[in-house]
Amino acid sequence: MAKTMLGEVAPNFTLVDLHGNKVSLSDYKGHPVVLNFWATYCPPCKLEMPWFQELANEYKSKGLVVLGVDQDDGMAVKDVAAAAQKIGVTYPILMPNGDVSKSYQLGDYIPDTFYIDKSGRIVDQTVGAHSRDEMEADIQKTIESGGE
Amino acid sequence: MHSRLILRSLARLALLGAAALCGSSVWLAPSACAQQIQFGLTPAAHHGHVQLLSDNVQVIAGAPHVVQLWFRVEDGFHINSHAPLDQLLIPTRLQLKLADGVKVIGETYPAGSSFRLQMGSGELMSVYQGRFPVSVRLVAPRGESTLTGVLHYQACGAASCYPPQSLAVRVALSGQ
Repeated sequence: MAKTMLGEVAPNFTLVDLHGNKVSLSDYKGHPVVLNFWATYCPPCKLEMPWFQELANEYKSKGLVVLGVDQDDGMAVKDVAAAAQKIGVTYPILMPNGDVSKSYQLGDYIPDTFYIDKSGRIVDQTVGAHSRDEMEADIQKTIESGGE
Repeated sequence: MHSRLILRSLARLALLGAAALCGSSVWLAPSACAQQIQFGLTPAAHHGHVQLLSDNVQVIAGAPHVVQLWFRVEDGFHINSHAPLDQLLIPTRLQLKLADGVKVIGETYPAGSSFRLQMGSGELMSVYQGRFPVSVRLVAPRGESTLTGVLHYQACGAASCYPPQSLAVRVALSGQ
């Protein structure tokens, strides 16, 4: 399973989104961030993602940012985009990079989600799908953490 | 902090696995089968969650013959059937090599069993769990030969999934 990174500073990364734009974690400094690793072949991931979208909308005024990092191996961008559309998410989906998986010490299964506060620290990390209530509680904790 | 994360996630996975194992349709209410809940990682019997059970098969030499290759999915896990209900899911597929004088005519897969995620709206899936056969129609030569290939599949537990895997298949055929 993934090693825990609780309390650590979230490693920065630069990945490419579905539109070809470079996205770095540091772009969102000062924002609470949910970083969710998922794949198109993972039904539990696809169950969580619409909840992340709902929560992203609900807590947008609190500065919440949700980023999805696809973990499919060799899948074309257009296919990942089609899957994201089918799942119903509009938050940024980033294409995979083995270095990011390594820096976040991912285990061999997904979903794997990191809750990063405004100061850039990981305040929670979950493996496997969780309920919407648990996700919301983690998001609230993340928003409240890290100072103003 | 480390132990909190590990215990929380493992407890979660154990509950989900137990709920799936005892067929409960009630989300996070596995009390009726609490004896199946185990905290901690389930020991993996083998890497990849799928095992080939067949290793030696007798066939009628020189004529089309159906051989059943049996596989076993590790308890608490499932793999997609050959015909998953969602086109994004990866079907189980046996890819056999043409070698050793064995002519493969085709494969037939069993229908999957229904599996519903025990969360949210509960997506319905077509999966293989436990033991399942793939029937291979082939023509084998007289004497000893070997059927080789790869089983492509993708495994999930109740709340998490593993990357697509390939299991090497090697079965001795005795043509009589």
